[in-house]
Amino acid sequence: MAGIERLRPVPGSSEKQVKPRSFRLARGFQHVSLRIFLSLLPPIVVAVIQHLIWPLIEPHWWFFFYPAVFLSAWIGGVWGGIVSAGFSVVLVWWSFVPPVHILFKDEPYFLIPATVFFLMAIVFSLFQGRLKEAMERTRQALAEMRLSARKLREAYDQNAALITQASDGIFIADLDGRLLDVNETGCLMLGYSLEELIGQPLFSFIPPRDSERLDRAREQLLTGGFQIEEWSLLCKTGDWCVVEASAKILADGRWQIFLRDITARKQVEKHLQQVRRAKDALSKCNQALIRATDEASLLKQVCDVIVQDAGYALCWVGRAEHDETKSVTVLAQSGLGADYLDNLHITWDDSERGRGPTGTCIRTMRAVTAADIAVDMAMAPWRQEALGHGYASSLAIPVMLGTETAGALMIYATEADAFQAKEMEMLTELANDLAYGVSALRTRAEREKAERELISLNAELEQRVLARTREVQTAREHEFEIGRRIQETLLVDPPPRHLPGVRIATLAEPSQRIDGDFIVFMEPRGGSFDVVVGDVMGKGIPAALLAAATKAHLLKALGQLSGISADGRLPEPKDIVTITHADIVHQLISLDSFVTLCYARIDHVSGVIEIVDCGHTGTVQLHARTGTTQLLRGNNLPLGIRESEIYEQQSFSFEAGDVLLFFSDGITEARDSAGETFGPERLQECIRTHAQLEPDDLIHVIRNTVQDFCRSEFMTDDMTIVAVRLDQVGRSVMQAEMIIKSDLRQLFKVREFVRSSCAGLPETLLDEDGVSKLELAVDETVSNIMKHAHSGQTNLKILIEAEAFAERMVFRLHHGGPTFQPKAVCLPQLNGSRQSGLGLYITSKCVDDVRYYQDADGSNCIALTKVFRKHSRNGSEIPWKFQSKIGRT
Amino acid sequence: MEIPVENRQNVIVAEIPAKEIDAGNSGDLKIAMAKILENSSKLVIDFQRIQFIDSSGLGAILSFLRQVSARGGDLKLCGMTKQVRAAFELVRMHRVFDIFENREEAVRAFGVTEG
Repeated sequence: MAGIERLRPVPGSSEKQVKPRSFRLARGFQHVSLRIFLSLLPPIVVAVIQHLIWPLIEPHWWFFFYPAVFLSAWIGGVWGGIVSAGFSVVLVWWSFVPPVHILFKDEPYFLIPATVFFLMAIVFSLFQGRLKEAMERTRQALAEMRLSARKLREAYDQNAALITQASDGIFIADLDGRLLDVNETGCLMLGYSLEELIGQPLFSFIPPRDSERLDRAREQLLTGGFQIEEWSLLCKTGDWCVVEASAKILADGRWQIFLRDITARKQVEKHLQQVRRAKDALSKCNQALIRATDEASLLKQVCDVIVQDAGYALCWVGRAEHDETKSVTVLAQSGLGADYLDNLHITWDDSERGRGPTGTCIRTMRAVTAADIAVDMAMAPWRQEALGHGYASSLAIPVMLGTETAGALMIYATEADAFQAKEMEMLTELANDLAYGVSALRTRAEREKAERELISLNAELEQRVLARTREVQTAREHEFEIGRRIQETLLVDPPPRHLPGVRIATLAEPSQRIDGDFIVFMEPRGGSFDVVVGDVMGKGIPAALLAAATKAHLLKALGQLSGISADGRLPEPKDIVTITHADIVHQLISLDSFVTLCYARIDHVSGVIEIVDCGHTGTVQLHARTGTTQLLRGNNLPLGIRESEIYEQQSFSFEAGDVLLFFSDGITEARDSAGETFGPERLQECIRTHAQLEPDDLIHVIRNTVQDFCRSEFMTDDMTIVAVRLDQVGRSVMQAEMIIKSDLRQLFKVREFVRSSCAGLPETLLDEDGVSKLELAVDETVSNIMKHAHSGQTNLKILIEAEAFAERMVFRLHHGGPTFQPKAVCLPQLNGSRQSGLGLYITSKCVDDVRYYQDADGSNCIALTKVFRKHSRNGSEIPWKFQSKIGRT
Repeated sequence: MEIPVENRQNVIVAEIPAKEIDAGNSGDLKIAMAKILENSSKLVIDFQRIQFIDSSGLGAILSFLRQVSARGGDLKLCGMTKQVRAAFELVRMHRVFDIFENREEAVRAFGVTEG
């Protein structure tokens, strides 16, 4: 302190430091002058005293002046002594050396003592100066010694205070570890008095497990240096305090130990560590919360985290049951000694087993701790078991779901009072997060369950709808099937196939499975047949019933009129239609319905067709000779429009090869996506394009063309088509037939049959070349049937019919083999590189028409037609009938 | 089927003994001609007895031509009736074959001078 103060500037000293140097010199000069002036006083005083006592005492001239000079030198220093000596010589010279008061004396010897005195005075002054300096130094030395002694005392006191009042405990022990001295802090640290500690061995204060470590520490200290280690020391209270010991062996061989009590620090560190672990646990729990997919795994993960990451001994989650006993069920657990939970029998009612931390926590909805299970009264029912498992404290945190406590999160620690405020705060936050996670999982589970139930219900509903739809559909299918069969059997007659030279195909595709379209074929007499194609307004079963009634009335009218015909003539179509109309017109009018129909009588002997068109779509006639088409239409009203309607008929002629196409408005009025109708023009163009097709193929081509036009497989209106191909007109002049085995060696018989059939024909119609070509064509065709259709099976038979008409010769070959597709056969290369199809090619070149169809018996038939030649003016042969042939090259 | 053969200065003249060649006997014809075809590079087939030939017969004749041509030889036809000729012309095989009125003309066409 003193040193520090010396260094400080003294208040006011700064003014002296700035004063001018002359001022200090003047002050010093004044100080010296004063001392010298004062040094004159002793000689004056001695002179006065000498003068006074001079009569009494014989003056010894210099006796008293020596002390005076000595005194003056004391006062004024060396110069004071010298001045005083001079001044004394002057005083003595003037006052006491006789004659006094005269400057010049008669006694010159007097100068000797004066000189001696002066010299002696100088010596005295010098001696006095030295003496004074020595005394001053002595005085200073003494002062310094006193100062040092004081400082030493202060330092000692300070050291004593430091040792006594040090915050660290200071222990001095001998090398055997027996305590020799302990400061006050050390005593307080262990709770013993100094007297109790002196002589105690250090080993008595450390755990037995640390004895060896203490030995090792001592051995190491003996080698020099110092050691800093942490030790646990047993206090007088029985508690253990944690200290940081800094020890060394002093020079005198004693063991000096500084002990710093770090128990609080350790507790803080431990607390901080627990808080950090709690934070980590909270973080990991939140991660588990995010990833959790089900409640059980979430609870288990949280328990694991609290035990493994936060370092607690046991953790479990209990659910508050709302049963009679209000029991608590363990949902998840983790940690050592989990069997502790087996016999807990915890409740949350206000009973002994419900007043524990868990029950109280659930009941009061707040965290409850058992800081020391050993003394906590609430833990009485489980104390023994808990202590047996090493649990010293526990914490119960409520798990709140909404405003209710769903359960509790229980955490156990192995040390008492393990749960501090900050830690509890985090663990409570963790429990809240857990509750949120459980709530979210339950919400999600409920939502998923609801979604599953909804999907299940939807699926069930869908299945029911589907099942019901299937039932309805099945019922409708059944109904429609019945209707379709009715229509097929009652409303649509099968086309007659036994009419020679006539091939008929029908198509009746109702849009609703059953409709009012009907087709009637009648053969009142040989040589002609009637075709009726009708359409009742509307669709479905009502229309079908009306169609059936109309058909029945048509047949009835035909029967009636045939019966009353006196000359056996056939009743005219117009009369049949008129009678039919008369029979049903009232019913149709009352039903607010009508019927369009086309009644056609085709006389394939006379080549005339009579048509009664009652508001129908018309009939298309394909003229085979010209390849053109014509729409045959009448102007009668439909049946059921007006009573007393008289129907008229129209006559048209046709030739061999012509095709008649009857159809319903479902064909011509079919619409595409733009709303444009298919129309009769497109129908006629389609017929012209496919004029060579057989009726069966033609109707399907027409149907497909209409569907392609509409871009729909399902038509909105009924499609009814009747295609009639008339291959012969007039009566045959010759008919013959033969049956041969399917044996290639019988081919010569076929050729003989051809020649014999042609034998009666005039040369003008069929010359030798024509016969040869017919012979070759029939030979090739029969050969192909035997080789390909019959695959060489010689037990099969082939029926060959020959029929001659006025203008052509027809050979029809009936066989039981599969249908032949001539388009599938490649034409031969006439340079000889490919022979396949050569027979077909030859056949096509030898006759004018080759047709493949099924006969009335369902057998496949190939018809070869040779038109009788007519010579043009230039003599070239002109086939004047058929324009189309297969295999044209 | 036995086919009479005549060798005129290394030109083999084969006369088909049937009246008709159709699918019923064209197979026999092929078998009968096989040996003749093996030994003949210059071959003439005489059709003078044939009254009828169909596509099977035409195919057989065409196969004979291929076999002879493959051996570097040549095949010529002769003696066709009008109907048979018409059949050849119908399938334009008259452009493929050299067809002569009679066997002498056919043999001469091989560059052989009969003496």
